[in-house]
Amino acid sequence: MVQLILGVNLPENKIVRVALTYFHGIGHKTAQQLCSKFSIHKTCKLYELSEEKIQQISLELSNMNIESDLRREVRNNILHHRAIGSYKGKRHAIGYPVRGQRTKTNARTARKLNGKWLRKVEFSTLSNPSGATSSSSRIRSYALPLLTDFRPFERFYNKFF
Amino acid sequence: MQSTIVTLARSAWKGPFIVQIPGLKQAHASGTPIKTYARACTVLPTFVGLKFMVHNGRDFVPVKITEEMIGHKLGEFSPTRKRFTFRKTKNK
Repeated sequence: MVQLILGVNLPENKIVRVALTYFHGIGHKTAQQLCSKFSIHKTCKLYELSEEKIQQISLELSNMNIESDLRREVRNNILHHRAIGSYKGKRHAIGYPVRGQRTKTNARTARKLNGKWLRKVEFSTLSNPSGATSSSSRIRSYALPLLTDFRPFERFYNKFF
Repeated sequence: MQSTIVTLARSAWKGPFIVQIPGLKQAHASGTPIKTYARACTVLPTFVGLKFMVHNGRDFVPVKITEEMIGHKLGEFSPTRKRFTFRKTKNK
């Protein structure tokens, strides 16, 4: 009872719109848009789709920024902040909320999600996590093959000049 | 995410927020760190390679500017809060 699209297990018995949200990076809105793009009616279930439709959808999905691509992008963005030693990067590393939320109570999501994998990366690559500027090159060589894509100067230039 | 810092934060017609920092040329030549209170100043491409001492409210934190920092603010690299650590009292 499982349909494979792009290596993700999708439940066959669900409505297509719902089943599509099983992808990391596709929420209800994007799923809805996909459905209307391929004119799939509201109550259509996944097993009712024809092979053709499924191929069309998977072709469309393969061009979107989802699953491992998206995860990598998010990860690289966080590692960028860590590498330059900014406030955001530090908050990530400690496992605290990044955008000024309170930490006396709550902060559950941040404590759950922020920092755990980051600490692992740093433990394996760095001897001194505090010296961010000096160790940035070492982080990059290990975990950030994509940092070269950032081109901060060009982005800055295009924006303002 | 990095792009949003530059693109979303401020409208383009204003240009980046700049504080006049005296002695940039001399600092480039001599490599001496520049003491500054201007935490809100944007890191410009001309700053790359310089050393700054950015005030955090108590003292000046050394920051070495790399290319990746362009578009961020100077204050982002000089934390204003210390992490709480529990200390045992001495006399007991």
